[in-house]
Amino acid sequence: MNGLLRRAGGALGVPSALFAGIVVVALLATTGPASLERLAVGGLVNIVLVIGLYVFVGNSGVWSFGHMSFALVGGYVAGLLALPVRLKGQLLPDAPALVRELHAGPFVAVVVGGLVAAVVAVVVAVPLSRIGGLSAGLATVSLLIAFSAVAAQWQSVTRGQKGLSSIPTSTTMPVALGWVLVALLLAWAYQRSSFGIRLRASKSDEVAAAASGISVPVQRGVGFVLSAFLTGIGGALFALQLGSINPDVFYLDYTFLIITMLVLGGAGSLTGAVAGSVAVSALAEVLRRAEGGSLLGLPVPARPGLADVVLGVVLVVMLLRRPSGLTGGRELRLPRRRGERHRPPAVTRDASEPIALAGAVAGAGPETRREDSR
Amino acid sequence: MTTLVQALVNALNLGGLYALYALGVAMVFGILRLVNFAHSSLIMAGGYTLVFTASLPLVVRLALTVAVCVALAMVLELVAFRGVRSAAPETMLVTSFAVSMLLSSLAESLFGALPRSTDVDPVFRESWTFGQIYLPKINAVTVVVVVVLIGGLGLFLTRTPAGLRMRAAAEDFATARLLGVAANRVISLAFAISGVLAAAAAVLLLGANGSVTPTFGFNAVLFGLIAAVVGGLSSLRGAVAGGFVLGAASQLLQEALPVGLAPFRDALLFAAVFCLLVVRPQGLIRSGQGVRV
Amino acid sequence: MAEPLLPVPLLPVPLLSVRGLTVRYGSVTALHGIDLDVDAGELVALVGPNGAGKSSTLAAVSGLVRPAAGTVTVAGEVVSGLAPERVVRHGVALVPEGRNIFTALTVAENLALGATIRRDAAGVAADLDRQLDRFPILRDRYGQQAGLLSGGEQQQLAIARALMSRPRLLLLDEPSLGLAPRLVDLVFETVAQLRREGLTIVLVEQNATRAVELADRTSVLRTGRIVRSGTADELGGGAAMAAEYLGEAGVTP
Repeated sequence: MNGLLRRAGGALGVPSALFAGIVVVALLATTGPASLERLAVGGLVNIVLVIGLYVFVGNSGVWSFGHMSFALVGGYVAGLLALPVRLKGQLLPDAPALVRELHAGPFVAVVVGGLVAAVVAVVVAVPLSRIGGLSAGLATVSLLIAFSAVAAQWQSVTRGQKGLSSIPTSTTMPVALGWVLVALLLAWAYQRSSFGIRLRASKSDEVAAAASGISVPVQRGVGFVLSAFLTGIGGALFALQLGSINPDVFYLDYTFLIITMLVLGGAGSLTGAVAGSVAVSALAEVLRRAEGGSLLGLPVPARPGLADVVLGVVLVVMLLRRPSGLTGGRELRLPRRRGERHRPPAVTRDASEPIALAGAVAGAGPETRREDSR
Repeated sequence: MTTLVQALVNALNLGGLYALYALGVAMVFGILRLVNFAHSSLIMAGGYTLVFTASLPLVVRLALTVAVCVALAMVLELVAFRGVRSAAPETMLVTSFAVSMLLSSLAESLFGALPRSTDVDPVFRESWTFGQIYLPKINAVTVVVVVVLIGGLGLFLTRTPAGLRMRAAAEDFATARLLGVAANRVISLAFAISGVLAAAAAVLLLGANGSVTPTFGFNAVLFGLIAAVVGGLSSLRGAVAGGFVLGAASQLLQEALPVGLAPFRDALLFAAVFCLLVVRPQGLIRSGQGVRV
Repeated sequence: MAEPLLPVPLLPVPLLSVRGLTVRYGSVTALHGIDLDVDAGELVALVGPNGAGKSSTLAAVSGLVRPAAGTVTVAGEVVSGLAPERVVRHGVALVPEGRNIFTALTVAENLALGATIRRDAAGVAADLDRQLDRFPILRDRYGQQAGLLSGGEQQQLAIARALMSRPRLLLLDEPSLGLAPRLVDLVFETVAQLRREGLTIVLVEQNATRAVELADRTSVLRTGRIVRSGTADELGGGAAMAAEYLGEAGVTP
């Protein structure tokens, strides 16, 4: 019994440690001005979104550029549910009765936002999970453009480009922290489950995985739906933090930000997803101050957009020099307590390592070549 | 009858533009298996070049635009894409995405987010009217430019030794290198050609829109990419055909969709592309062996 | 730029010299530091079972694969670590396994690509004529798309294309693979003819019996190492050789 408890503790070591780190950073932010706290909440929402993307990309090795579709769905659904019925009557007189009359509290709104995103993902996943690689990347971009176009044109429900506003805000620091914890635990439990392990097997060798009886489409589909659920939650939290949502927020810029976070931290591990989000949020905040004209008290020439330039440079350099990210695709190593005998913490090496190797070879000289001759 | 002719004229114009964007994307993809989102950055750079050279004679402006687009294309290849050449296509896709975002933020930082307007040539604002058919002169210019560029590219690829080497590299890069085809030179050349195509796109787009923003060219490349995908990314003929098919389909949807659905034209188009990709991923995009460097 | 040398004069060093060549694919080591010398005008056969490292040797010599260790010199000049497009300029031509002709291009275009590294238009034209005489079928199919050729015709095209670069060293990877017996004869006759013309050749073959009998010397590869080398007589004749290495017992490192 004791051993079992200890094993459970060991199994949850990584998400607990990550959560503890996030809490410390978030609490530090609350000691600052209110604007900093708002930013910290935004950063937490981004962590949920990055974990959402990681659940699919990190475990399957297939890139999705369309996950913001699910944030869009989650955000609109939660926003519509949270809006008071009386207000909806004024804002959306032409909406279907169901949309106008349903109302839910913030928690239910967020959960339903995630669930609707997951249901949409089931429909998408059926065809999508059969393909991988470049085709999947392009298909997901097309998906995002299509979703965004719908959000921008469906006047009666989304109010088109004007978007929804006056949504009662509810995403506070404790709420956001709570959802980060949920996302961490779900992502961790999934990647340690037999589903996650099978999906990871298909990432390192799709053919071998299929040959040993793993249905790669099914496993990808499961990962995709869970990933979309978390992304939908993230989108819902976003809408309920700002009190508004419009079609442009979850488009290519936000996609870029979330991908930057994941690549920078290392798409192969949950630790990487979290480290990348925190690092980019911190960097973005420093750069934002630089844009505002001062950095650590020093005057800096104000340049709007500079933050994005620096982020872009960081991402490109990272892709060229260290495509497996800060963490190299490994999970956090927890110090082992003395006298305790359990398995060493899982060091999950992932398939991005050969890429890193190839990148290093490519970086070493002007000439590169294929490793296999035919 | 007149509506049909008018629709045909519009479809031809739109198709020509899409073909132009698609060719720029397919040119690089055929050689490097790189989906180059940063093609939009080339178009944007061409647009700003036209804005900042507004006081110069048209010929000089055009020459400078081509020079800037070609130079930027080759620099991007050298700085950003050479390092990830041996990586997976998805990694290259992320890189090109990052590069395009980086350059549009850079443009915003340097030139501001507001549109900068300029006039390419007064002709671009004029139009002919034949009975009830309305033909803007820019449409004629577009079609002529596209036809000349496609024809010129075709001649270059089929009639010159450098063109032959490019076609060989596109089919089987490893074998081409065994015969002495220099990888770096072929890839640079492919990027340079995509630069010329981007410059033409910049001139025509700016002629039609009149102003440039940091995201100028992004939608163009999205449509070009889709057109190239429709035609089978690695084939240049396919890219041209895909461009015209997409142009015609767009125009057709515009005319045929019921009023309530018309605003959803783009959503339908991209949903169709999604379906196309999931139904025939291999048929459309052959990640053939021995092609990438 | 390497001057084409045909016929090859005697060189003080072997035309091809391989020392400690090691090739790795990820964590798999395909070649464990092999040594190999080929003198000018020699025909050397490399035989061995699948996965022995024969193709890896040719890939590393031609620059397709960057060796993990070891050196390759051609006429005294180090070519290991160079890109394939540089190696070919040292006079090395590889006819890869599976031919790898450009199926979308015409026979004429394939042959023209073979002469990519050459600048002497007159010499190229003369060589083109010679190769079309050597393989008359290619003259008949000159304007056709290469993808329409039969397997045997494609093999002839691949060899002709390699010869268009006027190599000093021709590397042939499984030229008889998948061909009908009559065409296998044609391929071996062609190799013998090229040998008589003074071309230096390294021939990788599954068809060990004929390769060993044709070659001046043979090296037997097994799991990435050269286990035996010698003339056909020293190795006990081609048929004996084949039986020996194809059977499980026999050769010990």
